[in-house]
Amino acid sequence: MARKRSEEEILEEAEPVSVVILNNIVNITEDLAETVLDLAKLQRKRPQEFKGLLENLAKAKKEGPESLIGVLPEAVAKQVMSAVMSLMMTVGSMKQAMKGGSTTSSMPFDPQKMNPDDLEKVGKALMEESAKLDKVIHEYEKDLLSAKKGKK
Amino acid sequence: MKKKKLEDTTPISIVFLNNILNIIEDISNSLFEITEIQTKRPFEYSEFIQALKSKNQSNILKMLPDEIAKQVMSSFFGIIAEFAYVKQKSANPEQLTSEELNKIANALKKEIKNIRKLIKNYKKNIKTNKKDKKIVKVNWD
Repeated sequence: MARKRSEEEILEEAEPVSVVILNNIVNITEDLAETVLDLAKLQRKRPQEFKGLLENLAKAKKEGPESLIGVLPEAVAKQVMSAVMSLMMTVGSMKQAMKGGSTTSSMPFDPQKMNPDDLEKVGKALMEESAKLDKVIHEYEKDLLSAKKGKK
Repeated sequence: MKKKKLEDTTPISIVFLNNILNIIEDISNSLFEITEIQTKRPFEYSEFIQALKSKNQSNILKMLPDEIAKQVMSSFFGIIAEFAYVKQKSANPEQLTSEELNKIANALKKEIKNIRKLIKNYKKNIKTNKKDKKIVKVNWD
């Protein structure tokens, strides 16, 4: 038997598409604000390291993404590279599918022609790579903590 | 407390990466919501995309409920003014001080709070209207 829909779910159906999208934009903007706050904190508390990272970022801008990876710990950097490649492939295959399978077609990318399955595929790929990276970072932080405890 | 100690040892690049991951997670959640809307309300979705394509800001705003649209416009100008002021002070983003970064972040947070409040009220109103509709009974006498 189908699950009875809650009041909240029914309400969501009445919500205009524009409000749903705006809510999503607000969520992303909140993450951006948190990032800026983190940046401000790091800049104040660890100015030397912060300056070093900015220099590396400027170098990466000149030399390409490979040098950007150099600023990350090795295990994390490898996962980032693998995630970027995999995401590029997913988006690439989606774009190709939209051009009717042709890689040479000059047809522009049209978001209206994206079907829900394609969007879901990209969403899932992002989630999957994000989960993998989260795991690697978690392991790395655990190792850092153990190393710190070991020193004591 | 434990978290604070860890943050002190975590390289800045990892802190950045974590922030990027949070943003990516929100983007993928947005994609899932768009997928759902596209499947369940294709006509409304198509109309929304057309408004976005028109590149006319007023068309996009017309899609939003009036009160929310006004707050979005006001927030947009508020944030632009804040950015312009900070940009004027430091032409090179690398020279942004932590106080200036804090100022931008706080301006973003303030506007987000305003918009969230309006969306919440708007949703509450939809809910009340829905409830009102439910209790309307036709008197046949």
